[in-house]
Amino acid sequence: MSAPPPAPAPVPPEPTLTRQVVIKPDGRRIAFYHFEPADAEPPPASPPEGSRHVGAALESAAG
Amino acid sequence: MSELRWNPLLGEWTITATRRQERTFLPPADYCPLCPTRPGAFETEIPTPAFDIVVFENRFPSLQASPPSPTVEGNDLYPVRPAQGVCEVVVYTDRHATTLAEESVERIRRLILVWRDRFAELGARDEVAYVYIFENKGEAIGVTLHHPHGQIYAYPFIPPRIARKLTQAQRHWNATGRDLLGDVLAEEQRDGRRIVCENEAFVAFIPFFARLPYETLLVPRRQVAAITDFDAGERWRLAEILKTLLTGYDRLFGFSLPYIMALHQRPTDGEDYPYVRFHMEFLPPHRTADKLKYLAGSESGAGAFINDTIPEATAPRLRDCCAGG
Ligand SMILES: [Zn+2]
Repeated sequence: MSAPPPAPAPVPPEPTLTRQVVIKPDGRRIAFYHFEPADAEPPPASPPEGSRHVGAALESAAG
Repeated sequence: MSELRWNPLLGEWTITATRRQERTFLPPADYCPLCPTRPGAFETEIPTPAFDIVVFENRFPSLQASPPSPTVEGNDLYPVRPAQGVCEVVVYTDRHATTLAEESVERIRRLILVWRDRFAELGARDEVAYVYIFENKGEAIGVTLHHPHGQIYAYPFIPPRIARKLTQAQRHWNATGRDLLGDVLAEEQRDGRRIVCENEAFVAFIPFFARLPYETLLVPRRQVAAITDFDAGERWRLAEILKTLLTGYDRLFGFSLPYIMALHQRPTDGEDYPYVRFHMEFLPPHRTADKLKYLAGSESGAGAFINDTIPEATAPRLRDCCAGG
């Protein structure tokens, strides 16, 4: 039961990460992480699904 | 607005964080602060139309790099310290309606690379004793912001539950010369009944001593103290097993399962921790599809957990879900 699976899939090459830091107008840092090569998956950026999240405020993220 | 107050009864710090209630703007009803900012639309926390992974400082941080002076004076009984540290938000993707479980292994690996970068950067700061990476997911955990994201708290002290685990591990190390979690892993593998899923680098199990019905520990086979110490193969296997485990969780009751996910690593206070083994802990509050485990009298008042299930019974269920059942 605790034997590892017999034929592990190969490990794809790891992308290279870069970090771009910007200071927001209120002084907070925001870091954008980019990966090279970019993910082959369908591009992101679908529109927000707002109705599920009416009035959600950022401080709830800190909970 | 924010300070550390010493609790002499438990010997631990409480962080006070009274947040500004005033709003500087009125967001639209469908506003998600973690979505990208669309051209011409209301600006979110992230001022670009698309992104991979973004990390920013929390707008209402409990811990700050330059914290305000405490609002009260401490004394010998009640020491007070500035709440120094960092609170960051990690936005996993620019797509609002997804979850970590639904992301590809490759995208989960990219998040692991970001975790590694954050651990290294925050851990290198003199004032940071412990970098705690976690995710609160789901309304059952009190999260109302559904955009997939996690958080990082860089504390100026080692948090009490972690300090207690370190003490236990150190005792075991001194007595046996072995790391405690390694022995726990070996025992779980020897027994086998509580294993949930595994691959060549990681094993996930509901531990013998689980406090919650579907609580799991995810442990590397190799003793590695921090996410910065994994090799590329291990990072990929970690992404793979996270995908398997989180997918299994979502199959358990047929909905996207709320959980607390926590990464446990060595402290970054400059001391040596030869007895630490990296692990991840998953704490889902659900006992059944429609029942939650609440921390009540025994748990909250006495610290004694009562689990009304046994892991030998819950693990096979979760294991079947992880295997695709
Ligand atoms: Zn969003």
